[in-house]
Amino acid sequence: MSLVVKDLTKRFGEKTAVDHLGFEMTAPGVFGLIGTNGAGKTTTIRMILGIMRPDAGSSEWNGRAINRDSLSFGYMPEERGIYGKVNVLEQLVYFGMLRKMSKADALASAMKWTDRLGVAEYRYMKADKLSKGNQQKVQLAATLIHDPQLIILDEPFSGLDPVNTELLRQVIGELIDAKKYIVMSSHQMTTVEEYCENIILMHRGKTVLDGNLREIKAGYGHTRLLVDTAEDTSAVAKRCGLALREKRADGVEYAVTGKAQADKFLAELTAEGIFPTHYELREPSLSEIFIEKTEGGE
Amino acid sequence: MKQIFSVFAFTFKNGARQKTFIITTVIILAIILVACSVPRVLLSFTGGNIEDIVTGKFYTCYYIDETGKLNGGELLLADKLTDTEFIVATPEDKDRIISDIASDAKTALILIANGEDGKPAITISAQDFLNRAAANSGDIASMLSKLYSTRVMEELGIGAEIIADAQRQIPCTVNTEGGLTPSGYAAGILLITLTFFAVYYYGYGVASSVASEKSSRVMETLIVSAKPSYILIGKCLGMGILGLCQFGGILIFTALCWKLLIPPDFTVMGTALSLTSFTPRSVFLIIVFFILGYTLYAMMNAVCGATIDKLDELNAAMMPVMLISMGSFYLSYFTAMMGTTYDYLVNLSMYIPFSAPFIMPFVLLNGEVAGWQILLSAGILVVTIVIVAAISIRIYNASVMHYGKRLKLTEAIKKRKSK
Repeated sequence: MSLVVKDLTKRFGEKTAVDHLGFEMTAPGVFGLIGTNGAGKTTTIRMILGIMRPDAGSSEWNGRAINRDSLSFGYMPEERGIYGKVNVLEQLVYFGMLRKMSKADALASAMKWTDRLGVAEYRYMKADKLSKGNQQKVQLAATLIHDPQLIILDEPFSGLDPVNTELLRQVIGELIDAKKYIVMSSHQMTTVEEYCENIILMHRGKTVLDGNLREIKAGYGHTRLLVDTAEDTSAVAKRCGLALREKRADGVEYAVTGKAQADKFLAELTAEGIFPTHYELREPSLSEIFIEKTEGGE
Repeated sequence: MKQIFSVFAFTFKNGARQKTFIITTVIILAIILVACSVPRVLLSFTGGNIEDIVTGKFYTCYYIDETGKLNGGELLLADKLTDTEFIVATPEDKDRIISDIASDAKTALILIANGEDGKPAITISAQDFLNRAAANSGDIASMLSKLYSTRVMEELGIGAEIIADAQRQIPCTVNTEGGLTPSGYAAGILLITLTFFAVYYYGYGVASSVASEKSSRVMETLIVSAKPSYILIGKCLGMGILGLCQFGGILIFTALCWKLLIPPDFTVMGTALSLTSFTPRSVFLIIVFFILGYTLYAMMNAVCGATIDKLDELNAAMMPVMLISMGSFYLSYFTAMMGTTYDYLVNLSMYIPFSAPFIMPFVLLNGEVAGWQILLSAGILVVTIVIVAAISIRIYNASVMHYGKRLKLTEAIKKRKSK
């Protein structure tokens, strides 16, 4: 199975919302669509799912154009939408039946997902009586009710408290284990780093970075050095040619050119009798790459 | 098809559970119950005699004859205007009575004085033209003139028999060959009004349901599950069948109340109430035209709901459809008010698809309408529905996923249909 997106382009008047975007997903897992607000993530998703017609390009699942009939996909929109005045179970069954499930199957699946997502006690309550987080879980249940092969989650973690965030993480993990294809848009980099093997970084409709996340980060090299000491290390750092990135509560972060420069710095520190309680040489985080790329594009 | 049915069932079930629907239904049934109970309630106050209701004295009319030539005229008038009490007064009372009339719409004065030619002249004083005496001034003048001529002939020594013959009212019978009956006329006008309100109410229901799904973003979940056209059709069907059930329920309840509460010999202004115009054929065709009318307006209203983002914009969005339905309603209503006299107006209303659903119930209850005319009217309506539905689905497809600046109709039509 594969999801192939080629050259997707969408213009709204003079503005190009998505500009020749393309990617492939040839194995199950999570693909990350990353970008600032207004980057074109939602428009891209709508075009992939065929609910918005692109001005150019195509999206295919197993070589066939994606539409409601050709593929059983699940879509959780960024702006959550459920019926406030209808009880939870009833609307989940309705959404299941719209996905061509029988009433009995839809009911069984709705029961399963409300259990799994911890909203079983709200099954017979009207949705507008639920907290925002629980409404979001109902929306996720509606997305997954028909056991879709391709799942599109548009900002799934936005607005969730830590407990529900953890629950959603677990559910996404289970979906990965079940060999589902998941496309997730987010601007929460920690989440993307945790799940996504491949990403596209979008900025104002353009693709500014794409590929395998590990390879992208490896390409930047180990250029971040976090050191925590009781003593001031700035003089040694200056001597070794390290640039200060930021002072944090858990230490000082320097920009280094690579492992050799970091090793030299450590040797100088110990020679002066300064022994770090924390020493970490790492690649730049996705968040840092994201900021660098998007600010560079300003 | 299964998806259409799912949308239909969901819309129907939720529509029926809405408080506004339940409250509206209860209020309408209560009004019908009260209206049908009125004759019985009145009878209970009058000791069970219907005649007492009719002969109640609701007006007062003073009678002053300054000439002395028309004394006793008040008795003749009392026979004609049975709801008016006639009181003989003297010329000295005139100013006081006129003063009373200024503050009492139910009081009037008939003053007979000598005119410039020395002959009696009648002056009727009332607060306004709607007063019973003022409204019947022609009858009053005619009766008193008859009394005057009788008196003159008596003075000339003409025999009672000759006078009676001269004054004899020539019998006049009205035979109607057409199908227009008082009950059918009243029922037809009532149905025009009911159909308009039903089409408006249920059409508004469709529009607000679509707008609510769009503003609450449920639409985005729906649209990836089913084709917009299926959602539109299922929704219109759901609201339509719900409306039909409510409409049918109200009609059945009305029939039961009629049967159980209205006394069989009850009349309104001397006309017996009758449901003979309602034949199985006319009832069937009225329902068909109701369904067609509802479908036409529901499709247009759904598009109005789809073009907006916020519910408070709904009334403005519905204005064009509202103007069409109001114009069509008034065309039908005034055509019906004039009976079937103006053929060209009836034909115009019957064959304009937007007014046909309103006028057809009236035509079906009140006249000889040929089968081909009904078929032609229904055919034009069906063709219009197909065209409007095609355009509506296209606009709906373009509009449901459009947020932000309100989509103009021309833009929506131009937008390419989504997959």
